[in-house]
Amino acid sequence: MIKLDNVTCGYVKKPVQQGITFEIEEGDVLMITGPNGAGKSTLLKVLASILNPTAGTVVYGWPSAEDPRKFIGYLPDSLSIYRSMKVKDLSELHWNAFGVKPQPLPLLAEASIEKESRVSELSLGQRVIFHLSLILSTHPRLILIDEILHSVDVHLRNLALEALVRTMADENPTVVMVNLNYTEIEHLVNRVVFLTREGILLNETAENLTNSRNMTLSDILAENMNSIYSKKRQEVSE
Amino acid sequence: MLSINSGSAVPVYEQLKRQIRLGIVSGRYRQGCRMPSIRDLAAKLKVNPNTIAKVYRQLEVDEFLVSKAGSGFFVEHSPEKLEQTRGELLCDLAEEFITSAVELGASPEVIKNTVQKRLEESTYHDKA
Amino acid sequence: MIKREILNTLRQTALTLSFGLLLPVVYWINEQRLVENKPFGHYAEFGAMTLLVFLVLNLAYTMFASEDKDGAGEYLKSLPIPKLRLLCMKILPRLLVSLFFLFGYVFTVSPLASRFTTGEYFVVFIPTLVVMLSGFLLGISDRKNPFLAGLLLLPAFYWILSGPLAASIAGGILMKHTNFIYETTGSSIAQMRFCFDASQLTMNLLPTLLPVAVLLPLYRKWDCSSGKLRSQEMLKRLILPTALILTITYIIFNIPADWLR
Repeated sequence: MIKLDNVTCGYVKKPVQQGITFEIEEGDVLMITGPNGAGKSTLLKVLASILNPTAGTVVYGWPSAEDPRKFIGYLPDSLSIYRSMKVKDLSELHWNAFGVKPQPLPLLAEASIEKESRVSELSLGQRVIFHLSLILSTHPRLILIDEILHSVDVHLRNLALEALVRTMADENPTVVMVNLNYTEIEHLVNRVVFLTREGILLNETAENLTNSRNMTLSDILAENMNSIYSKKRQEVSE
Repeated sequence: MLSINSGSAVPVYEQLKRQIRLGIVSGRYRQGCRMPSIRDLAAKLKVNPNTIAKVYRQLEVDEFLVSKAGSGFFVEHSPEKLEQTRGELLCDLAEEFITSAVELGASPEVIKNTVQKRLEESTYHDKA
Repeated sequence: MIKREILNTLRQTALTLSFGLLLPVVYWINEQRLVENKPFGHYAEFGAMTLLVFLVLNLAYTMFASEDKDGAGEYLKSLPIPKLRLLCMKILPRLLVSLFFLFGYVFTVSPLASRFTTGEYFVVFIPTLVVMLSGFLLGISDRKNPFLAGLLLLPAFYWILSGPLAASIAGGILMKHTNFIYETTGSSIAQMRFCFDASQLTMNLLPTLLPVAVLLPLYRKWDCSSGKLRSQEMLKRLILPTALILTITYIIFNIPADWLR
């Protein structure tokens, strides 16, 4: 169980989010969505343990003696990585850092990624596939994916999602995805958190949401988005 | 091929259960054939593996499938089950058809005649 | 990862030291231009000293240059490498290379080569580390603040004016100062020795306060916050130590004269 307790993150004088409290069960597939600028990526960075919250705590429920990052696989929307390194060298660096044995990455061949090419030479979609493969290869207990799947073409996105689902089936990790395009992943997700600048608007299981409204998850979330933006438009015109 | 209708408000769980039952009844999934693994089906459909597992387990409870440890799920049912399910699915289809036909404003007589006519024509095609 | 750091260090060192090739060129130009040119040894000594300070600062300043250039900051932070180990991997190769060249300079080109005592090894090591740390802090700041740069370069400035590097600069400020006291106050050799040691200690060890005042709190808060934020934090913590250092320097270099009279 991952618990965020009264987390405030962002700049000290201008926090991006304040007083965020919620729990994620082991094995949950959580989608964090909401308008741009709501602080979703920032929250994900806090979950990834690469950003310290300015207030509040994050408890992972794993053995506290170990570095939590060892069990986390984080795919940032910036695709931050050593771009000038070769695929094979970077893989080695990654496995070394995580203390896992080198292993074949079958997805690379499917995405036509050569081990000798440098990351900067790969297309965006190939970079996502490579980065995702690396993350999944360390068998993380928590997988965090930030919005990047939107920018990938259909074929590679398919590949990526299939790899993710297979990992979900094999290892039952906790998955948190920041996503604005719900239709492709709405059947993977079992819980949704809708985050706005003011905080958590919604924190429900997908089942509850769809059962109570008899609409698809995408439609419910789109409705929420629209209502937020129409409220904003109202405020601006007043 | 199993598929999901994303636009439908019917939950994936229900959709898949129905499709598999349909497949079994129509003979697409014959007795003893192995169902796709939870892992592969989940990956292909982009559905949470837990949902697929739920579907298979429920179908096992409903006595359509049998799980063999380590090998996966296999189609195994009694012939009575097949007929019973065929009957149930036919009833569902009929219900849907009749509801829509009534919405059109057709009377029961017209509905019955239409069905008769279509059946004759299609058997005519079959024989030909 | 350490392999990469060693390679990067060596590459950066080679790049910086290649500027040393300018020395013979400058000497040769001056030979043609000037009527009375200083001997090449003079150029070599001065050039070596400047290059050395620049090397130490540059190695430290570019410690995270590859992460900056590659946009790998977030990625590095996501790797489960303990903070201390990461910093050691970064700092150790650079520190060792710096000390190597520093000792090389001290034992060859510097006029102090013959008179180096064992105690002074320590004095060489600490300011090197301090200048490195200052360079490192400058490297992780937003690099747009000249005032912050000035404060952080204070240890380097002190280092140039004192210690083994300074013997050639007008005989060294320390020596000059000590002589001045001797001449004006007629103090004993022991007192003169004390003055010299006190002022040397001041110039070499006192600047340690600066990076230490910043590093300890910053170490705890190390994450992907912006360079601008870090600069603000650093400035806040540097003002007091800087004031302290300047005050003590002033005292050390002025009071003995009055006290000894």
